[in-house]
Amino acid sequence: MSETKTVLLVEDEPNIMEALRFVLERDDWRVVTHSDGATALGAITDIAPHVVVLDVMLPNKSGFDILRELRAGQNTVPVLMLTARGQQKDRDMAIEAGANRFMTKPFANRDVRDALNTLIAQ
Amino acid sequence: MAGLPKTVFLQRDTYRRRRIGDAIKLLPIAGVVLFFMPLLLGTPEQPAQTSSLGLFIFFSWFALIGMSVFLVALFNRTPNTPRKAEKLSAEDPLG
Amino acid sequence: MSFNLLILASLGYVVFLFIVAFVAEDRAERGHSGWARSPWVYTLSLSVYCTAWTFYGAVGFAARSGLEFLTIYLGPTLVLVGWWWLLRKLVQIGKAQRITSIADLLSSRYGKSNLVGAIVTVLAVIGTTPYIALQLQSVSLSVAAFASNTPLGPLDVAKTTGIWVAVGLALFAILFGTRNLDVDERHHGVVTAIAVEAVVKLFALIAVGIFVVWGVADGAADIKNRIDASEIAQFNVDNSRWIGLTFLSAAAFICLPRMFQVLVVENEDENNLSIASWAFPLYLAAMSLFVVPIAVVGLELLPEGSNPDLFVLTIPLTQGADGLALLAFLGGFSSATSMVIVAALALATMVSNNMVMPLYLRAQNIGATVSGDVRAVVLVSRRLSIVAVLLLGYIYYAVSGGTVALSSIGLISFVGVAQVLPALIGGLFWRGGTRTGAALGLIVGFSIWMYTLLLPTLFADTNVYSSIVGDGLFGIEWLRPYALFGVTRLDPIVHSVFWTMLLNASAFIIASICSFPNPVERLQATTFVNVFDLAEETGGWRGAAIEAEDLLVMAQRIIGGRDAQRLFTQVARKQGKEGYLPDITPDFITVLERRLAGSVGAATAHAMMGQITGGSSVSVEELMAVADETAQMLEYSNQLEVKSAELERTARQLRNANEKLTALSVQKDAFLSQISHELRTPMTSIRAFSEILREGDVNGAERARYADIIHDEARRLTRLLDDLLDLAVLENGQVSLNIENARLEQLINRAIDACVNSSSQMHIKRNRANEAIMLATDPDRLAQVFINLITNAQKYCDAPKAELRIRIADLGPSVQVDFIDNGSGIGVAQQAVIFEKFSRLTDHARAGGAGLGLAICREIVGKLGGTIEYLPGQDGAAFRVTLAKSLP
Repeated sequence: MSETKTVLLVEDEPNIMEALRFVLERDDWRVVTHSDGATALGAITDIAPHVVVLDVMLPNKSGFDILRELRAGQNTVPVLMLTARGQQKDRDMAIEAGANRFMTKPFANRDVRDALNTLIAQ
Repeated sequence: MAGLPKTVFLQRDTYRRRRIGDAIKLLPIAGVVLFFMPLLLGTPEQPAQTSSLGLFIFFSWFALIGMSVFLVALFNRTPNTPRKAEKLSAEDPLG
Repeated sequence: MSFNLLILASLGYVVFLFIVAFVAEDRAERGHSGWARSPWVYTLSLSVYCTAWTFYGAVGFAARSGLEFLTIYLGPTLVLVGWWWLLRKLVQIGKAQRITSIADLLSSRYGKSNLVGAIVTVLAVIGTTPYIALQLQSVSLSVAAFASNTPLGPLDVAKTTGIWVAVGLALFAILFGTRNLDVDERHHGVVTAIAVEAVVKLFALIAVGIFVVWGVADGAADIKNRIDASEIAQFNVDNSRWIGLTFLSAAAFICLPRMFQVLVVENEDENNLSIASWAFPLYLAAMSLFVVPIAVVGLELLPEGSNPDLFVLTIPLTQGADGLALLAFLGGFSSATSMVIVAALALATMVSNNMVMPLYLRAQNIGATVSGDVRAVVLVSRRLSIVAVLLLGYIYYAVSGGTVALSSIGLISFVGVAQVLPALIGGLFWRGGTRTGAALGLIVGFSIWMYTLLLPTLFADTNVYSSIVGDGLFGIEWLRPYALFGVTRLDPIVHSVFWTMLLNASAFIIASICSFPNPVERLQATTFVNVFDLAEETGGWRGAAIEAEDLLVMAQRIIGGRDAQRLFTQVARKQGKEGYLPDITPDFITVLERRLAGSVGAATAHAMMGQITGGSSVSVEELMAVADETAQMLEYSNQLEVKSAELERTARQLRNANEKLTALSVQKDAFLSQISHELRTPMTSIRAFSEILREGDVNGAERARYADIIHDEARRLTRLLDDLLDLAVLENGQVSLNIENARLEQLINRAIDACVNSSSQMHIKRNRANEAIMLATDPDRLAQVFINLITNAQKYCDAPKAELRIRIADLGPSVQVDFIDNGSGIGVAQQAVIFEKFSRLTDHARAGGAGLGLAICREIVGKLGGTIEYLPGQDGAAFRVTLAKSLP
């Protein structure tokens, strides 16, 4: 961990956002948050984080759409998708849209940390 | 009148024919009044004269016939077809 | 002058008439009937009204009663100048329906009734026969007037003359009246000959008149003096007679069979009628102009007791003007013969068409299909009828000739034929007139006429009838023929006119109202009464030449090109012809019609063939049959329509149900995701923070805060589970309500208090005055509904200055509570599903619920006996809760 990595949390539930921020900042992540779907794409491009945590159910635009547009713009930033809808088709859609990892809520904090570290390492 | 479209002539003519028909319908009523007039004349003591009443009836008769001639002529010369309308309106101011 | 010269002149005149008739007929046959169709010939032909009875009799009438004779001419004058009222319609109907006689007219009008036709025919024969006898008598008497110096003696001459005149007239009528069976029953030869006779009689009467005024008397002034000095100087006319006779002559002018023949049947053109409307009154005026002068001079010149009916003849004779006398004779002869010819023709048509033919057809049992055989039968029956009518007239003359009975028969005959008038007028102007009414009216009028007029006159000399006239039938005084029901102030003719017309018309009207016409009658009634409306639609195909090609075109349209062509070639080959177009033979038409009937039904096929072949107009029965078929088809297609409408309704319901199910299924999927999301989101927070707390390295403030979050999220989960349970309970009907009386205002206050917090920007508008309503309800549940609606508005109203209006409407037994916000409302597609469970307008989490709120509301309101619905067409989203004030 030589340098500080930036993670962008795109999530509209303030409680979940707070929990993740606490857990990741403890691991020395620089945590940036964004809660609106419509402007999330611009935020990702502007902030250029090392990794993105993306919720599916966002106000105004779904996480799938944001990811699809992101990949269409040749942006290869690693993305961890979180969803509260635990069905197989959600997982398939996430992979298809270009997610690097996919996790179902509720998750173990450790799994998120491990997943992000894995994504950074790649 | 010459500048008006043909349909105006037609409508006018149809209307005229109807009204002439109305006038013809009135003739027998006038006839009844005239022909029954002798019944109202004279008194029991001095009845009306055959000669004068005869003249009156014949006068009424010919008047009625004259009116009928006039109305029928008017009726028959008021056209009810477009073709006739053209022909007659050219030569006859009545059309 | 010599008697032989008279005979010679008469024969010459008769030959001349035959030639005139023959030439006219010949020209008409070759299509040159121009002048025979002129209005002048038509007008002159109407002069059959002026019979010998008027030619000779008018002077006699005037000599006895002064000006009263004029009524006989004034009536027809009124009818003619008023042609627009009646004659115009009569002529139009006559043409449209191809009427052949007055009996045919009434029969046709009253549903082609043979009964009515037969009654009119009998009436006409009884009314006309004495009249024909009268004409024979007048000719005989006038011949006898010349024969005073022959060895035979006047009476023998008269008898012989009668026979020969009758035979000659029969010959003429048969020759020119039944040469062929014209479809339209027009007889150009007869009409032209009659027109010539009309000129002769007018000329003769005017010549006598001029001779009397300027030859015998000293001009007009002298005549006036002589009139004033005569016994008819004073106008002593009974009012009722003047009015009654004018009416009677007007009625007779329309109803006399011979008048109907020339007025309607022989009419070619409405235009002719319009000219005749003044020309014939002029003719009548001219005919009557010299009647009074001749009468007055006759009364002066001739010895007491001379027959005034012969003054026209005897004045020239006694003054030595033999040529004029001959002319006068020919005038009288013309009057008599023209009347007899036309009357015989008209009667023969009636007898043949309305009595003989129906009986013959029934006897032969061949129906109404006219074939060549039947045409021959018609001709024979018509010729025999002419002979029979004239024979009847002659017999009548031979039996009662010279008696008073005969000379007064003119007016009596008028009253008889006038019995047709009520049925005629009623039939033309009143659609309600029925066959029963017409028949009953005719029979009543006819019987009363017989009783009050004909029989008393005929049998005046017999003891039996003179006692009836004096004391009444069976001695009942108010049944006296001349004073029915005690009416004694009227003279016999007017008395009879009064009672017959009154009772005839009454019977007609009452029986018509009480009876119900059959379909043919009703159809004919409409056709007659509305003849001018229908006139423009008819015509066109009538008389069209029959063409095999036309038939082929029609057949192809109906049975298809290949079949039609095959049929036509087959028939053509059978006829020995090449190609597609066979000769039109009756057999071919029958075959084709039968073939077409297979496709379109018998009646339609017959009507169509009738149109193409143009043989005859489509009969009413055919039209009725067509109408029936069409009605059946309409009925059938109506049934189909009903069925297909039912099917469509079912299909629409199925479609709706399907749409709903699909939408529900989609919603259920969405809900599963939603419920998963709603459950997992708080659980995620709980799990994440509980792990953080478990790991231990958090400070005190953080620990407290995280514990709070865990607590809140746990409560959120509980709430969600509560909602789900609540809904399940409501849906299963296991809910128990605590009904209390509550004030609507308080419930709303409670709901608003529960919803409004610092974060809510929504402004709530209420009208508290309207909210003062007491309700029997479950206050907690209802408040829950209101809370749901208010929070919904808070969640979804997207207006910058959010506003909620709570509007109350008191409907008496119930109350409406509307919640209307000023947002963009709910789309039509979503309106249908918002009350369903799991429905949520948007996905965003801001809404906070799982979309159960409205579903719960609907269940609660339903339990409270009310309804909740989305109210479209407001400014924003609007919900209407309707509640009963007291529970049932």
